[in-house]
Amino acid sequence: MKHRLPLTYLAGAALLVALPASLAWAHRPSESHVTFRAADSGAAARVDVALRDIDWALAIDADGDGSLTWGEVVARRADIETHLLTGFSVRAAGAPCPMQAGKQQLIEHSDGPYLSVPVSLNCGASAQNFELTYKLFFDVDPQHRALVRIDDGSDKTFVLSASSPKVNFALVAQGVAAKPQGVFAVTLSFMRHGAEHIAAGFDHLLFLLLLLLPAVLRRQDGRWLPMPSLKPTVVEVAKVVTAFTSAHAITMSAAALGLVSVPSSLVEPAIALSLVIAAANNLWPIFAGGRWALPFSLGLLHGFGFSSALADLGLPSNRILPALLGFNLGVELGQLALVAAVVPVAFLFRRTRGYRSVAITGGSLAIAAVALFWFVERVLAVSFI
Amino acid sequence: MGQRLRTAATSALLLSVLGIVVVGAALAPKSSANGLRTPASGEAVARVPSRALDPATREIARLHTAIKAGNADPAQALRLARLHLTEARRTADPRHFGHAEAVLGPLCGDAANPDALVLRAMVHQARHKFARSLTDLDRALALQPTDPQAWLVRASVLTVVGRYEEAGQSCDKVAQQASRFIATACRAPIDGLLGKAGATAAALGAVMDGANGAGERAWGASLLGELALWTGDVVVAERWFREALTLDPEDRYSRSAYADLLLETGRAKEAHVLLSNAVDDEGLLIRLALAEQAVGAATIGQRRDQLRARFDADRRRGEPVHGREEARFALSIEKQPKRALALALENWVLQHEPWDARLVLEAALAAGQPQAAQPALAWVQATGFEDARLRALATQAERLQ
Repeated sequence: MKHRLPLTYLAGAALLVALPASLAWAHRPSESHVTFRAADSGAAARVDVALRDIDWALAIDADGDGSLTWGEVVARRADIETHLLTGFSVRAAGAPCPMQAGKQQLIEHSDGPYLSVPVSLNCGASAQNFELTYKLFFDVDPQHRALVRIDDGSDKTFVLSASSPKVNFALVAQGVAAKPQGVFAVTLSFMRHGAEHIAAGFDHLLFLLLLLLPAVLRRQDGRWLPMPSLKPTVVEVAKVVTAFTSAHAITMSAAALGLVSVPSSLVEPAIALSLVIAAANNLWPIFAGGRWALPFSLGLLHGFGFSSALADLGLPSNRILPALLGFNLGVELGQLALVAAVVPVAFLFRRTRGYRSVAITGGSLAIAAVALFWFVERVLAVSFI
Repeated sequence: MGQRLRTAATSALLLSVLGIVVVGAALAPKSSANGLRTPASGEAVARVPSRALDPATREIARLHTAIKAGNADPAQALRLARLHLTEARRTADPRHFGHAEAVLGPLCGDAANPDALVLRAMVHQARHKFARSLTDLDRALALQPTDPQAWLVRASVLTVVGRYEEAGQSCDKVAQQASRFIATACRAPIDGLLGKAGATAAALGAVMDGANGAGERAWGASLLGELALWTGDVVVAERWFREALTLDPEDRYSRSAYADLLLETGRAKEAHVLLSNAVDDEGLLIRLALAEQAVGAATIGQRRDQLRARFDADRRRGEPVHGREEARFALSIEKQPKRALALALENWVLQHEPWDARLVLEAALAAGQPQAAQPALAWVQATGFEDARLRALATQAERLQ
């Protein structure tokens, strides 16, 4: 309201009451967010409605103190569900799709807290074209809008209003997020994602390279000596790779399951620093525990890095374990590819003086330099390039 | 290198990584991968208007229930709509406009209630739906031809869209029914824009004693502040804006105008303080951002993101109602003169107030397209508007054309 509303007459009619405390509201016009995607049953929707709007329609703040607790929301769960399900309908091939609401959860949108409800629409698996009619909250706020998004890769959006409450849309099942897949398909598709991620994630590959370079050598009296034969080399490589893999599998799974959460502002610089530590350890080995301690402890860090990539992909909620397994296998495959490329060559050249000076010393120094640069870049969260 | 040192180094490394994991586990319940979560039962998850503690909310809820149950008369519906408009003004929460519109809708049908039409016209005005506002006002005046409130709102809407002659005629109708103060206050913004700010201020000042109550006096003080600003008298303007805000601290119009005065006279620190408790309103937030930018406040980055997100959200809804603020944001915060010019011209189609003209001129000059300022230039010349800064911009644009 940027114009001087002449409220002169109003001021006489309506009392201007001073409040004891100013309440922090997000002052945006009322909106709901409705997302559709394909599902086994035909379609699935997620409806996010502002808690402000639910409270206005159903008075769920039971004690009226202005502070809505989750307990107060849960106590009215059934009323809320009924209100939402009568507020919109979906038809496919001329027939209404029976709806079933799932577990109500909380989600923050940029303008405040929303209640998020998954709704499965039983339109039949063959349904592709849908008609949505939406009328939630229009009776108490004609300025309410539904922001509808079609989550099938097309990312079409629609804005529904009291004067235009209907929309027709098609759902094309495609991609990991949209299509419900079998266990095997999910595992396979996440395996591909895992392999792609390790191929693109330069820092993980460089870290593994730092671990592999000295695996064809052994340490004796403060000097690097070549491994006598292939067998102990393979054992060393296996130790290093197993330690690194099991460590990042642990933290990645824990983070993906929501058991642990480390902000990426902390993880990303820490991963850069882990490369510096590994490089330094090649030049002046100080870590005990043979070859496993360093890969394992720093591998825990790298797992958090993988988990944020996994979060960006979006885990299918009903196929979390196959997805995790697939992603881990994919990462492992990528690592084995590096091992296959690096170890035979390193093994052949392990006896040369050049291997120690160029590969170990030079390579570690070069990677450390790059990693230091990444570290500064990630701490300052700026890009120099 | 000793074995003990190596063991110590290894332990330190393992411990620090485990430390990160433990801290991460402590942070974990706050969010899952897709942002969905199930809070604990006792956790406060939202602030909502308090029916127990806030009398206005309680009264609104009571009337709302009565109307929903179908046992309320039109007077109660009108009272509820007025409460919503007062709350909208106080809190800047646009939901109240929507709720008011919902209540008024049934009273604005075929056998319309004229008071309901006037109130709905005010809702439309607040949303910059000026044509719809005038339609409702004309319907109301057809039913109740002398209603001073309807004529007053009509004068205000017509001034914003630049139809000064009709606005003046509306004020003549106001004068037949209302006090001399209200009639003079109605005319003040129109005459002030038409190159007579000094005389208008004198006329309004002479009737200020007739202002009825703090609300009317705050309105008069705010007008006098703006008129003084147009004649270039910053000292007097400041005195009136301060008085307006003392009488009505929730008057966002005066707070914005006073903040502009402070920003333009190199007193950004004071503007920052004036706006520090800014209500959640784009008009105040853009000025707060300008003050933060001028004093080098650390919060400016966040503010920029906040405002950008709001303007984007408006456009996503398909209703860019904050064209003036968005143009100013693009020009002075984001430093994108070309985009600012496009926004200022888009806004100029809708509203013709001094700030709208100024943004067109400033953006056109900054973008190196002085000829694009033609509509605003024509407005300055046609009105004879006196404000020195606007005239200087107009002269500059004219010279460059």
